[in-house]
Amino acid sequence: MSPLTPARVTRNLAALAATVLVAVFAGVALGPSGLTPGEVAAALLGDDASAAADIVWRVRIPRVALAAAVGASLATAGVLFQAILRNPLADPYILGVSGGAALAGVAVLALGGSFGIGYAAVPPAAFVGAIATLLGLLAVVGPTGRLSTHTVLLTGVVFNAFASAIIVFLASLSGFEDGGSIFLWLIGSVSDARADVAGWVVLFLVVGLACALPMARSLDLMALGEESASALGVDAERVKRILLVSASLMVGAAVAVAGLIGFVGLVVPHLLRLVLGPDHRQLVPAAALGGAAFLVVCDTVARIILNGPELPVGAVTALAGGPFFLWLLRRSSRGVA
Amino acid sequence: MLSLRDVSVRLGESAILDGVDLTALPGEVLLLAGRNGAGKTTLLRVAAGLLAPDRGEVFLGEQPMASFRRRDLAREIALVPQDTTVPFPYSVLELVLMGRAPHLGWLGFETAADRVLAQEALARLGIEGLAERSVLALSGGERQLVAIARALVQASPLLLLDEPAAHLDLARRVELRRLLRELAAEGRTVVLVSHDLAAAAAMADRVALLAQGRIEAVGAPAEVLVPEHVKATFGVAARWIETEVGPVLRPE
Repeated sequence: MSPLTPARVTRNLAALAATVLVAVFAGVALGPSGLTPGEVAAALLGDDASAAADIVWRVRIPRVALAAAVGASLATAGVLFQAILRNPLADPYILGVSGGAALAGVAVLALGGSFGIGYAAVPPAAFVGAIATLLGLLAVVGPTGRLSTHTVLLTGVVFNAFASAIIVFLASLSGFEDGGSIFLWLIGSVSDARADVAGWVVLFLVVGLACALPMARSLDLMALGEESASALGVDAERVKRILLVSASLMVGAAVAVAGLIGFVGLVVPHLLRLVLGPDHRQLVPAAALGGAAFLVVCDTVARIILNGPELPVGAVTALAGGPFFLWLLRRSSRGVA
Repeated sequence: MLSLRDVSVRLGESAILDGVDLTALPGEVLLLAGRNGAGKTTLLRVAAGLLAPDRGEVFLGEQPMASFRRRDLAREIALVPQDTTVPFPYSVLELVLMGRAPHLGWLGFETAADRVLAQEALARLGIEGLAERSVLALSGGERQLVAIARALVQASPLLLLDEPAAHLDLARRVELRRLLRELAAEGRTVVLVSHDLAAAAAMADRVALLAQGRIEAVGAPAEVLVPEHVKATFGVAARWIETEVGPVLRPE
C-alpha cells in the first residue's frame, strides 16, 4: 500500500459514504411488510397520511438510523481497541467489554425495578460495566500492555461465558424469564429503536470520533509500541486513557440500546485494512462509515431473510463473523494477518 | 551532547541504575556493553527521556531533559527499540514515514519531500527494494533495518539503538557498522547497546561497561576492553588474541 495522500483519503471516504447511503436506502426500501418501491418513494417524498408513510417514518427510518449509529460505534471502538492493545483481534465483543456492559445493563434492569430505577439508568450502567471490564482486562494483562492473541481469546471467552451466565441468572431471579427481552440482550438486536436511549449512541459516537480523529496518527505510532510512540513524540498514556474511555463509552451506549452484537468491530476494520490499508488517519473515519453500512445491511438481511419472522441482527453478524474470525485466527497464527 | 549525571533508577528495593555518570558527544559512537540485566536498556530509556530517573539528572546540551516537551524531544532523539514487531500490515515505506511524525502536524500528511527522505533512508540501509512490502512479511533482521531507517528520517542529532544488530547477518552487521560511523562523521551522537565486543573494538570511539547498574569502566575500546574490566563486568576471564580477521576476545 503506497503512502496516503489527502486526495486519496477523501476519495475513499466519499466512496464509503456513498455505500452507507445505498445501504440506508435499501434498508428503508426493503422490509417484511412488502411495500413497493413506489409506496416507499411516495412516503419519503411527503405523502404522510398513508400506512406506508407510517411504516417508513416510524419503523424503518428510526431502525436503520439506529443500526447505522450502533454499527459505526462498534467498528470505531474495534479500531481503537486494536490499535491501543496492538492486537488485530481485539474486538469489543471478543474482549468481553460488550459483555461487561450488557451485564451491568441487565443488572440495573433486573434489580433496579424495586428501587424505581427504569430504563434510563441502563446506558450509564452499561458505560460503567464496559469500563470496569476493560480495567479488569488491563489488570490481567499487566503493565506491558501488549495482549497476546491467546490472552485476548481466553479472557474474552471466559468473561463472556461468565457474563452470560449472570445475565440469565439475574433474569430468572427477577422474573423476566419470559425470554424475549433477555434473548435480545444476549444476541443483540436493533428492533427496539427507542429515541430516548438511541440519542446516547449518537452522542457518544460523535464524542468518540471527535476524540479519535485528531489522535488518529498517534494510533499508527502506538501500533509500534508505547515506547516507540513516546520516542516519536506521542503522549502515549494520554492517548491510551482518552481513547480507551471513548471506545468503552461507544460500546456501552451501543450495548445499552442494542444488546450484544458481536464481530462488527472485528470484521469491518479488517476488511477495511485489507482494502484501504492500515493507516489510522483513514481507517478511523472509514470504520465509522463501514460499520454503519455493514450493520444496516446485516439488519436488512435479518428482517427479510425469513420472509415473515425476523432474525435478531446479532445472529446475522455472528453467522458472518464467526467463520471470518476463524479465518483471521488461522492467518494470524501463520503470521500474515 | 547528552549527559547523565549521577542517575539512579530503582525498581522496588533493587537499584537498576546506581549513580551513573555518562556523557555522549556529537560525532562519536558510544557503545554500552554489560551482562544481561546490567541496566543497559534502562540506561537507554533514561537517555531517550522515556524514563525519569529517581535521582540525578539528564541534560541535552545545557538544558535539563525534563524541560523538553515530548514532541520537541522527538526531534532531538531517535530510538531504535529491541522490539520491532508491528501488528498491522503497513508497507515498509509507510512505517519509515512514521519517523517524520515529530516534524508534522498531528493530522498532517507527509509531503513528497518526506517520501524522498524515506526512500533515501531505505537506500542507505540497502533495503530500497522492500519499500512496498508489508512489514508483516519481513524477517526479524529486515524489521530491524526498517526501524533504523525510521529513526534516520526522524533527523535527530542523537541516535539511540538497542541491540540493532541482534538479528542481522554478518554482511548486514558490517554494513551497519559502516553506517553508524558515517552518521557519527556527519556530527550525530550515536549510542548503541551491543553484546558484540569485537565489533565494539572495531567501530566504537568509546565503550562503557555496565555492571549491576554502575559504570565499571568507560573510555577507548583498547583501554576498557582489557581482561581486568571484562572479568569484573562479565565474570569471565578472557583475553584478546590476534587472528586473520582482527582481534578476537577469547574466554579462557
